[in-house]
Amino acid sequence: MQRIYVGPTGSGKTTILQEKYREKVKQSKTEDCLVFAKDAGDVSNWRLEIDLKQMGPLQIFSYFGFIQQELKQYWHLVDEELPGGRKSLEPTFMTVEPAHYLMSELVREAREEGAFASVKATSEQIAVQLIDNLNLAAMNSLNKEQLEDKLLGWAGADLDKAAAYEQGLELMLKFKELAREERCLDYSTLIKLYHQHLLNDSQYCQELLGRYHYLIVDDLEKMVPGAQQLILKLMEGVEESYFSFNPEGGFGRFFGSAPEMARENFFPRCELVELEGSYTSSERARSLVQNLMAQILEDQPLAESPYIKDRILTDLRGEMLVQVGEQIVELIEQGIEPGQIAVIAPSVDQVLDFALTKYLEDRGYNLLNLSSDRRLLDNSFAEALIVLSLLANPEWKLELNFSSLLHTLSLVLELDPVRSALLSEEIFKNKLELPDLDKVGLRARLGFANSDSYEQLKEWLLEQQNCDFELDYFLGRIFAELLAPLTPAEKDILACRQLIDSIAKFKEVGRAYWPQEELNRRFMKMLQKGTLAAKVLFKSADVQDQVLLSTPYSFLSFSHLDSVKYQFWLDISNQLWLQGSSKELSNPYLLSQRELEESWSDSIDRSLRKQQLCDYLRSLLGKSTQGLYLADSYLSSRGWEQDGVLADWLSADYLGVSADD
Amino acid sequence: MLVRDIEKLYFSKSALGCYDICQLKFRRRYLDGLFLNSNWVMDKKEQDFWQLGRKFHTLAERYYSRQGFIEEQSLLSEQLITWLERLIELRPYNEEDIFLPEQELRLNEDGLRLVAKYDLLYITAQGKVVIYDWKTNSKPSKKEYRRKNIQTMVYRYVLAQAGGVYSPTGSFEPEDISVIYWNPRFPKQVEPISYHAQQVLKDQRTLEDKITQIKNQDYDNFLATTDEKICAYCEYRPICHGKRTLQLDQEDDELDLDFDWDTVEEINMSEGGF
Repeated sequence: MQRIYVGPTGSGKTTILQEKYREKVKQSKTEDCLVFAKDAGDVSNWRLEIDLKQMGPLQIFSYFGFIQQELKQYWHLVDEELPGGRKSLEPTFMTVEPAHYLMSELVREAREEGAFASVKATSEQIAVQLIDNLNLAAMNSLNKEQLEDKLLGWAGADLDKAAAYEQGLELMLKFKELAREERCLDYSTLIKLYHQHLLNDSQYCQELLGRYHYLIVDDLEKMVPGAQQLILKLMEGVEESYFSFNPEGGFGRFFGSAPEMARENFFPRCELVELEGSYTSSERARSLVQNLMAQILEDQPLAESPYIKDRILTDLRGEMLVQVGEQIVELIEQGIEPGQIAVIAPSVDQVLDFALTKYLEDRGYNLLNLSSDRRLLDNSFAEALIVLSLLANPEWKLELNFSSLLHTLSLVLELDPVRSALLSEEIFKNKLELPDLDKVGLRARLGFANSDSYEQLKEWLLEQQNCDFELDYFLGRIFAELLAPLTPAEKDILACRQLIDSIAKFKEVGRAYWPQEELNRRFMKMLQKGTLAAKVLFKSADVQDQVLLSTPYSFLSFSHLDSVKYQFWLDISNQLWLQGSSKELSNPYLLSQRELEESWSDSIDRSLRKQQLCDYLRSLLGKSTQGLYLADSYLSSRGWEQDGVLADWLSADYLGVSADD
Repeated sequence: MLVRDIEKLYFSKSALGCYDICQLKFRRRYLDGLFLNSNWVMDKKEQDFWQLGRKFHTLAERYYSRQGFIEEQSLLSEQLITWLERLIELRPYNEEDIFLPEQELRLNEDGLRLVAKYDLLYITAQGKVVIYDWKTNSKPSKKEYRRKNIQTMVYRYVLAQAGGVYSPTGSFEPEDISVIYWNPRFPKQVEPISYHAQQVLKDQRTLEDKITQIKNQDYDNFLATTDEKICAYCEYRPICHGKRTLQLDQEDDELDLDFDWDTVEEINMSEGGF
């Protein structure tokens, strides 16, 4: 039996698959049934939903989680095939930050020798793009030659571009070689090694194909080509396979998923069961999305939709945010739970976050920001950890930002901003050594109690300078001895924990590439570049009790929420709604597995942007049940005129015909 | 990351043990979702000690899951080679019996949700099962302590109630089950702890009572332990009391490799688009 349940978001596909899972494992064991879900969040949801009386190990993974486990288990088969033969007991898994940092260092070195002269991007941005290229190539099973052909084909006759792509290819190759030599596996190397070595190893394949009786794949359309290849292989060994496929779930295409390929690969092999209806969206929302897509893709007029409850249009963005706030409060006062309202903007900037948070807080409501683009160092406790480390280690000769020092002194010594600024100035003058207060004449201005606290801090830092310490342990001490007594909030503790955990991971990887004595300084340098994004700890009560603020991507990727009643789409004339995925050196469309029918052009770019926007809008409206509010301002928060076209597309062409007529 | 609802939590020996030593630590770790790794407060010597234990667990898992596979000696320290040899001497792999390394079992019955992760389940063709738990502490622990601790209770009870599917006979009677805590530093110390029907009922009552108590406890009533010795070595001490955690003496501490409820770590592509 091989079956695919096909239906839109909210049609009950996952529920059916979970029921199927229960039915199958009741007849055998949990380890007989392998489940693939799209990401860690969905894996976690699956594990929680499976509630049998007795369970053995749950074989529920994301594609990435599965191959990571397999490489760990069968490492000896891979290690002996790599340069230098058996070298390590187990591989080191490289997380995003060290991978980006390592590539940034390679880019920086190459730039010093004149590479990427025509590329208008920072070394860090180039590094991110090169890593994306490696990941896309691995997910699409492209070899070195195919990657080279595709990138150079993109450059066409542009010699500067071709040179930059060549330089990029060289660095990607170098990065890959380093990863293999040092057994430090980033995402792309992990995928490559699994497919090249394990899936081509007859002993491994025999064991793998005999391991499971049942295979379940949720969100088949989100599976990258490499995952699809693995699923096809697994189907050879299992007795029954059950999949779900969302024909409207294309928004992951630009992150590597290949819905069209999934159709080609699996539809002819399986029985298709079509599911209709959706409990996460309404008929009116679905009708609006159809009309909207016809407008965007085919230039058809958009009929007025009763699903759009209101359009807020102001000159200034601040006014718009106030009106959005008023409307939200009105809905809550009518009985709508705050967690049933989502504010979605193409970019969640600090102005938006602050203004809306303030407006709602003043009226007794809270806002939960789901977007993950906050820097870890924006947290004052995490920032203080870094600043205090730098003060204790002047030999690192790393720059310290004046405002960071000021914030830290305010926090640790509980000083007002004026006194903190005075003290910061003196510390800077003294080359980051804490000065004698009497010599600089600050004791009286700081006051007796503050001066006493300052002296204690100074003494503590001096004591640390003579200690030979591991940085993670030292950061733990700073937290315990200086920051914890200040009663940090949960988010502050979490930020400090994240920072301390990340140094451990960085060191594990960094040892392979740099001398031990450089690791601490390099980690600090990486942090100062703002590489680490802050993780957010969500509680179920938060999600119910707070109005949500998010980018479309974060909202759709948030696995703990099926749908909301009302959505507010903000800044609809912001160009970011129609943002493309191609960058200077990276292009997901070109690096897909398919053969391209025509070479890259502006018209393809425009058409892909429109398609991507449609995918997002369709998915957004698939998670909304009662209404949509649109909000826009003539000027952006920077005072610039906005001219993005989504606002035009969303303007109903009043033809005298309502969409529901 | 979304913090889980207590009604949906599976209680492990670590969670129950944590509640027993300090309710506030339990709250922070399992209700608030604030998981602080004890590595946080380890210096290099302690981390090396921890890593050694972790590697031994990995080697043991590979040996039993890969049908007696032995890692190349050039990759191992002298100590690990000796430990692995001792392990093989203790319980050599064979084709006839069933070896389930790093086996997880979950039980969910009448509100009693328990999870146990075993270092090794060794099941004979006659349906006898030995739970092996690897310890690498520098000092041996007392059998009497082992017999009464929460780990033994959870291990045996969950296996008796939820492990039958792995028995050649379809179920495990309590008398079929025994636990051996084994430390490669003290290879001759092999002291099986047995199980019997009366103990099953006793364990069930104890576990039910404890879990009910936890579930019914008001959030604000999860209080810090008054035992200063426990508190002084706890990784949560800075948060609870604004004081530094004292150096943990690994010789007295159990190596806790039970990572239940830790989230799966994913490496994602950089977020493009929006």
